[in-house]
Amino acid sequence: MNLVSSSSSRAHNFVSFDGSERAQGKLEIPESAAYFQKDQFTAPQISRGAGLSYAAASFGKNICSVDHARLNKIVDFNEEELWIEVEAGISLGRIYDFLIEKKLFLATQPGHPRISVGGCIAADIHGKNQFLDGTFMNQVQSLNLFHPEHGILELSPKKNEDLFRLTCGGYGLSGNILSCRLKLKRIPSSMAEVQLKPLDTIEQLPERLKISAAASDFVLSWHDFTLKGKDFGRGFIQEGRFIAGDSVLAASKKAAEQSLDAESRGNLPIKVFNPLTIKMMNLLYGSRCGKSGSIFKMSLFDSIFPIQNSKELYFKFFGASGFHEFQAVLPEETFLEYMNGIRNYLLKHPVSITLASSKLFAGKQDLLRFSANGICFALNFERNSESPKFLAFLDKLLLECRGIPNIIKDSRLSKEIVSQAYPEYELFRSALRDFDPKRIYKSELSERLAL
Amino acid sequence: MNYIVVGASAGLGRALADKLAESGNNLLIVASNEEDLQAQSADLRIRHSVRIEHKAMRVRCDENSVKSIVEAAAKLGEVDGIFFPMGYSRNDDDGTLKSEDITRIIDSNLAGIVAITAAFLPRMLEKGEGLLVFFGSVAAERGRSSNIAYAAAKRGLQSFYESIRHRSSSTNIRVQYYQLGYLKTAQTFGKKLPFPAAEPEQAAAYIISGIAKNFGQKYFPWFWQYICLALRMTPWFVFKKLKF
Repeated sequence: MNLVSSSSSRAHNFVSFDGSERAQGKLEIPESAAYFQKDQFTAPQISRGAGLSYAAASFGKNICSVDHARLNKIVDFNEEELWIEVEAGISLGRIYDFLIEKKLFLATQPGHPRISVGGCIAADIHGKNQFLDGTFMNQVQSLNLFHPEHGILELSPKKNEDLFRLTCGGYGLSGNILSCRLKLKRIPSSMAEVQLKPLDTIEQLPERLKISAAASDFVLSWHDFTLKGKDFGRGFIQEGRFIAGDSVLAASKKAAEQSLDAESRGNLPIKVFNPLTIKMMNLLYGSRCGKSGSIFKMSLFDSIFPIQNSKELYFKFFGASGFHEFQAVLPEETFLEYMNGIRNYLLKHPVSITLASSKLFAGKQDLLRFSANGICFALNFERNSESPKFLAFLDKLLLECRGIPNIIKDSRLSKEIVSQAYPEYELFRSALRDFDPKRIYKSELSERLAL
Repeated sequence: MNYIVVGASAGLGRALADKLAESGNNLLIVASNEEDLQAQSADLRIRHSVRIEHKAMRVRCDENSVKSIVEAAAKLGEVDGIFFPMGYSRNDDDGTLKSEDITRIIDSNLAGIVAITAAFLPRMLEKGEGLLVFFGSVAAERGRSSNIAYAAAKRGLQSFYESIRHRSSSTNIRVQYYQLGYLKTAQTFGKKLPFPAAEPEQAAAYIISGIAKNFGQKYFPWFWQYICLALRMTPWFVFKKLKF
C-alpha cells in the first residue's frame, strides 16, 4: 500500500537459474524512484531483474540485491520516431504486450518474456538475429544510470560514451540502470513464418547458416549430439520471417503472465533427464523436421520466446542439481576444429547433450561483450560428477580455437579462462575502477572473475 | 467513469489504478512522491489511452490537503467514485509512539480519508449515486500489543464506513469496505506470515468485479472471514496469551 516506506528488505537465499550457485544476501524491493539517492549506499550491492541469469550476476554472499520488479513503467513513447522509454525493471513481455497491437517490436530479445530490460542491457544479450541487429546495446538510444557517488547520469552512444559501453554488457557493475530509451522496429503483423531446413552434417553448418541468414529475419540451428558417427550433429536450421497475417493467434497469450523463476526451476521431486530420456527427447524434437523440411506459421510471441509454457518444463527436467550451458562464439575458420574436438571427446567420454544449437554472429568484440564475428554455439547438459571434466575440456578447446565464452550463461567460468579469452579483460577491470574506485557494485560473478 | 485512487503508487493502489485505467476509466491518482506519480501517469496514459491526473501530497486532515484533491479532481469532471487503498504502519507501533508519529498513522488510516470523503459526499448525495471503497485490515480485528495506533485507526475507519453507508442507504451510493488479509506488499515483505499472501493484482481484480454491487463489507482473501470469526470468539483468557 502507499505511504509505507519506499522500499522493504529482508535476508534472502538466492539460487542461480542453472542451480549451481547459492548464497545468502539481502533483497530490497524499492517501490519508489526516491530509493536511489546520492550518497546513500556504501555497502556492496547489485541490481536484480527477473533473476533468470544462468550465472549468479544479480546476487552474492552478503551483497544487497536491489530488485527492480516494481520499477517497471513505460514513461514515454513515440510511435512516429519509433522509440519507447521504460523503467529498467519492466519485462520484455510487458513491452511486447504493449507494442504488438501497434505492430512494433524490440529488435533484439532473449528467450523468455520475464527477462527485464535492465538485465538485457547489463548482460548485453543477443537474440536470434544478432547477425542482423547486433546485441541489445544496439537497441539502446540512451539510459539513466545511478551511482551513489555520481548521482544519476545520462549515457548514450554520444554522451558519456565510454561509460555507456562499460554499462551495456557491464553485468550491473557500474551502477543501477534506472531507465532507458529503446529503438523500435515496425513489423507487418504479430505472426511469423518458420521454416525448418534439414542439415545432414555439422560440417555444412557455417555455410548453410550464412545462406539462411541472407533470406531470414532470424535464424538458429538445432542439432542432435546424442547421435554417433556420420550422423553426429544432424539437425535442422530454423529460418524465421516476419509475415503479414491474422493476429488473433498471437493475442491469445498475455506475455507478462509467464512464471518461470530460479527458485521453482529445481522444484521437481524427480530428475526426468537421463541418457535414455535425453536420447528420446532429441529423437522426438529432431522429427519435427521432415526430410524435405517443413514450414509453419506461428505467433511471433512463440517464435521469439520459445522458453515458455511447456518448454519451461525442459529446465525443470534437470531437477534440483541443475544444468550447464556452455555457449561460445567461434571464428568460422576454427569452428570445425571445435566441433571435431567435441565429437572426439564425446566418443571417449559420453555426455548426454540435451541441447545443441547455433546462431550466426557478426560484430566487434570489446570489453567483456559477448559479440564477435563467427558462429555462436550452445551446449546444454546435466550438472553431475562427470560434467566438470567435460567443461574443463571445453574451456581448453575454446581457447585453442580462439573463441569467447558467454559469461552470463556459465556460472563456473574462471578468471583465468575469461582473461585469456577476452583481450580487453584488464581494460574492463580498470575502467570499472576508474569510475567506481570503491567498487560498490558486486556479485558472485564479479567476485569469481576478480572484476 | 472518473475515479480517484488515494494511495495509488504502490501495492494494491497501483494494481487498482492499473485495472481501472485498463477498463477505460479516467483517474486522479494521489500518492506522496511526485516523480513516481509522473511515471505512473505516463504509464497508464500510454498503455490505456485514458485521462490521468495526479496529485503528489501526504494525505492529512486539513483544509489545504482536501482542497488540493478537490481542485485536482475538478480537472477530471464529475467524480464517480473514490478508492482509498492507503495506509501507514510502523514496526514500533507498540503504544509508546510520539505524537507526530501517531498523528501520521491516524491521518493516513482514518482522518485524511474521513476529510476527503466529506468533501465529495455532498455531491454524491445530491446525485444519488457514487462509489466509496474503503480498506481495513485483519490486523484490526482485535486489539493486540502491536500495530496499536494503526489498528485503532482502522477500527475507526470501519465505523466510519458503516455510518456513511447508513447515511446514504436511501440512494444508489455503493459504500464498500474490504477487510484485507495479507497482500504481497512492502508491509508484508520479509515477514514470516502464518497464512498465504495474495497478489495485489488478484485483490484489485476482485474489487473491480464488485464495484456495481451494494454488499457492504467483505473479506479478501475470503478465508479470512473464518479466521477472524474464530479470533473474535476467542475468550479473553485465551486471547491474552496469544503472541501474534
